[in-house]
Amino acid sequence: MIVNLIEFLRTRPKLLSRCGYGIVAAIVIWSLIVIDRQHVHSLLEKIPGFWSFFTIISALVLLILALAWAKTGIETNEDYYDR
Amino acid sequence: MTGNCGFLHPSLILLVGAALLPLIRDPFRKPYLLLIPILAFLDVVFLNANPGTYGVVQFMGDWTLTFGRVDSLSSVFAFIMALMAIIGTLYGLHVDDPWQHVAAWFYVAGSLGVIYSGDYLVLFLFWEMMAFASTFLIWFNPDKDSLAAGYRYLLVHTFGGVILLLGFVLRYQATGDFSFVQLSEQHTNLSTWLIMAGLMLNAAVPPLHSWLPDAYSKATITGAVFMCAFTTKTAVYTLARAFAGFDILIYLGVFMAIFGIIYALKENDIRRLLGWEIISQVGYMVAGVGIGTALAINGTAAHAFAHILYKGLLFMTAGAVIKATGTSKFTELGGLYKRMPMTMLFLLVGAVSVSGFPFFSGFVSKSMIISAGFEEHLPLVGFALMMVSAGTFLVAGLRLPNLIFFGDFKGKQESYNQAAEPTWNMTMAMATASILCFLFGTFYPMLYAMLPNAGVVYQPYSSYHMAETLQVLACTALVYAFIKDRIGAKANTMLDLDWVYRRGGRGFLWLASKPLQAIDTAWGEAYRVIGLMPLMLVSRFWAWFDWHGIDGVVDGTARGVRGLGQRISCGFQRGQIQYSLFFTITFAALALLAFVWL
Repeated sequence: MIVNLIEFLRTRPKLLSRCGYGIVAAIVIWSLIVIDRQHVHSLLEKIPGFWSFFTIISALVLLILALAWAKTGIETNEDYYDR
Repeated sequence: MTGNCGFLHPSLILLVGAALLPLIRDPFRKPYLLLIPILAFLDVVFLNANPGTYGVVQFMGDWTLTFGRVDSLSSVFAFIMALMAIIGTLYGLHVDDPWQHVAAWFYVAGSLGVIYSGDYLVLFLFWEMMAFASTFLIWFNPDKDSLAAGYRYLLVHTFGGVILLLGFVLRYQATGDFSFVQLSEQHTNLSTWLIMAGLMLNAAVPPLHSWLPDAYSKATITGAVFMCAFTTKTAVYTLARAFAGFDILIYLGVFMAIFGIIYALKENDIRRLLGWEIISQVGYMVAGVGIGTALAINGTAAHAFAHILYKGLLFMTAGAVIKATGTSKFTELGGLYKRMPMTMLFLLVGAVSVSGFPFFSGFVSKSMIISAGFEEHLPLVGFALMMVSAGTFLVAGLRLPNLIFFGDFKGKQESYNQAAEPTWNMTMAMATASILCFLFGTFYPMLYAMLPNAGVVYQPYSSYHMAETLQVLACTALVYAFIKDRIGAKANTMLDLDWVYRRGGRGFLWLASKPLQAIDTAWGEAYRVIGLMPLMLVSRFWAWFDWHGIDGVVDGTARGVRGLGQRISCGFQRGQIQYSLFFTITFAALALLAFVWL
């Protein structure tokens, strides 16, 4: 059953990406409209959709940190210690 | 154990069980393998229902050893360790080599012993038992790299043990007290920091962390399942016991949470990725210990509890994939969803749990620590840990399943063809852990009822927290869709601080083998010519006289002793240092146990 579902989605990448965007949009809109932001921890969180912005920036920051750290020469061949 | 009727240490059950295990034959072996951890678990449950201090013994006159401090903090950790011992043993039930189970049980016994210990001497005994027993879980892996990895692991942990020993001996000298209790942040001295460093090494807090991904990626398949649960979380327990509220731990914890994710984003080995993920997740717990409020300590205990289950699950699924395909490299995997759909499902359960999806265990535990950070007016800590939440989902929730199960298979065709679902016991163990991840995430009061500080009220399923989590997850997935090729599979690895002793070790080896050896050889030669040769001549004569003259005349005892010695040395001295170590350590452990308990 799982295999069939995955096969079905693999042959329809358009449908898959549309579903994905749909879910993301639904979650963000739901958080914008429904949620009570009176009792948040910090002022920043009063900005509507704050956690969406925060996440996108965080994920990119982590990615850039990882790529930059790898570029400094930290990333090397897997057989480094065997040589 | 004397003095306390009705106290049976769960470690003792495991140790005796392990000692008898090699003697048990089929068809009783498998039931016996399950019986012993279940008995230990029931013992833990019984002890937790009757908190108190047990197993207090006088040792060498004026020292008091406490083997059984059962209170709210030790109870929750002992419970999850004993539960994980059952799941881990079930996962390894198909392993025929009894010594692998013996090592695993010694390791669990060490962990339970540390958790219930009330003073540094008992703690140290079980601490070292853990280190030595777990080393064998690496050595039993027949891979060519495992022997060296095991030695590195053992040396690093011996170093950590010595630091800890130094710390508490110094403390004893100053205070005359061995009891293992909360230390004061106001009155710190060298002993405080040494003890902290010793404990932090086992919790893999940078810069003492490199052993973890190195060792866990080289252990046996079942061994790694045990190792991922016990060492770091036992160390988190000890930190929570002695160093709650130490500010430095907040910063170290946040740093390691971010650091682990950065390495995990680029790693090419499944178990190295998961190892870095452990460092990142333990970062939350270390930060929780540093915050030190009632909510934070509860969060640390809850997160350790949840973490052991989902990380055990992830290591079990990783083991199933490695066993099925014979490789652990992402560059040789992919597209396995058709061959191993059940394993994929279990891995996804572990992945959503670690990422903190609502209704799974990570959701109800991780958020406690983050909330505690915000409540203590440490917004930067809260935000940094939220950032790591996004990173965790990126690494374990998206990158890991995508590279193993989706896309195209990148390895050899025959390893794809031979890939199949694992044995029934492995599947059962993964199913059990999956169900528990879901149960403790959905029916969270079961978990919260076990937490150390009973008065704290926390509600994870508020609409705001749900919205916050779902936004983090949804937007992380969105970002991944655009960047996934940048963190795809590449046959590379990331250098880390273990470089210092892996490459530095070579320098030392060169120094020892070239200049120092040359001096030694020259000295030895001179000694041989001038001192030894005349001496040998004289003694050879007397040996001849003694052997043929005296022993022949008396009763031949010397010949008998020599024969016995030769037979023993054939059995015990095989010329492989790990066997010699194994026999020595077993003998020392048995002698110590006999001394304490008899």
